[in-house]
Amino acid sequence: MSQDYEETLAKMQGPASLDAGSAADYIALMKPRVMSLVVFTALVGMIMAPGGFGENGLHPVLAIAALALISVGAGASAALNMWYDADIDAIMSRTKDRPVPSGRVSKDSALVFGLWVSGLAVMGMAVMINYLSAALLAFTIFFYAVIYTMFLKRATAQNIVIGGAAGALPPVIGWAAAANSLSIEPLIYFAIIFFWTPPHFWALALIKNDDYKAANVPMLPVTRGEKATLRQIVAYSIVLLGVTLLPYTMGFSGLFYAAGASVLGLIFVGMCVYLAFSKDQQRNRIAGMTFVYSIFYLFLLFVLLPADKLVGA
Amino acid sequence: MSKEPENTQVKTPVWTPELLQQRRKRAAIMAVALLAFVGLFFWVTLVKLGVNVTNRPL
Repeated sequence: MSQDYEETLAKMQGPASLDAGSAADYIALMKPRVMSLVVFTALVGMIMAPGGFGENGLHPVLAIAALALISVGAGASAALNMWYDADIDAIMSRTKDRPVPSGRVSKDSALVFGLWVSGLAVMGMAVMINYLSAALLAFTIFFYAVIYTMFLKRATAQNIVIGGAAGALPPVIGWAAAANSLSIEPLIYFAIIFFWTPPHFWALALIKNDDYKAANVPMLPVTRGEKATLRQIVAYSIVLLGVTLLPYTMGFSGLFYAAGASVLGLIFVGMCVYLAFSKDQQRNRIAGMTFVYSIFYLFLLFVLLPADKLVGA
Repeated sequence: MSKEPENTQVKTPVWTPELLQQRRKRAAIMAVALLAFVGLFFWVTLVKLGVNVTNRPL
């Protein structure tokens, strides 16, 4: 074990200490960058729901409230994740400066903060919006903080495949907030993010393979090796391309969406294939490009959905 | 040879001026967040009631 790690553990397990965390540290606990993608996909779910923001749809004030509560709920589940994962976060270079492993926020404070904010978000959703969206938000927090963080992450190489369901739920919550019901469309949006998560995350896992090995987290590149991971990335990117075209083939998005999704998806498949055939010394650089493009890809897909609605209107 | 016992005494933490200032800042931001939450509740209540707030038997 490195000296850094020993020092970090000492900080976390040492004698009673005063919480030195600043407000910025508590905001960092909520993973604001992840929150932004959550808010955006939830917003698209709302816009695409019957009525959207129109006369029969969600009042703009209620939409703002729902988005705020969804983002706060997502942030709370991230805080619970950081509370539970502090030991492995301390080992990995990408996460060792997070508020808990760096000793700025105590584990207990992160837990209390996560639980309180989760409760407020779910209760707020139930009181202000509707019970369906509140139940979905509660399930999302539970799935991420308990099923993924506590059970899957350290147990199986399929951790982020199954755990991806938590990240895929925000557009469903957004739809439920607006429509107070569910139908096939939000489930397709769920499937898009669900199949997008593995290639997105495994591209990062390839770069951070040594970190995951050191922390004993059974990510696919650790347990099955790079070759198998690269094959899986390509396979998922192809399946994802098919899934992203479902809104068109099922008739609830038009040609504008289909054309955009096809171009973006083919570029992604191309990048994944390029990554799979890359030389060892170039792999990290191309994996980094693939990771960045995957974020851009998902963002544009969810821009295309409402844009197509606007074009078709 | 007997080894000297390790110092297992738990040290009492001390509030330094920096820690106190950070606590004040945290408290201030928490107050703002709570006020925002109360404001949101109020705003949502108005929206949900709408014109019905005046629609009652006198």
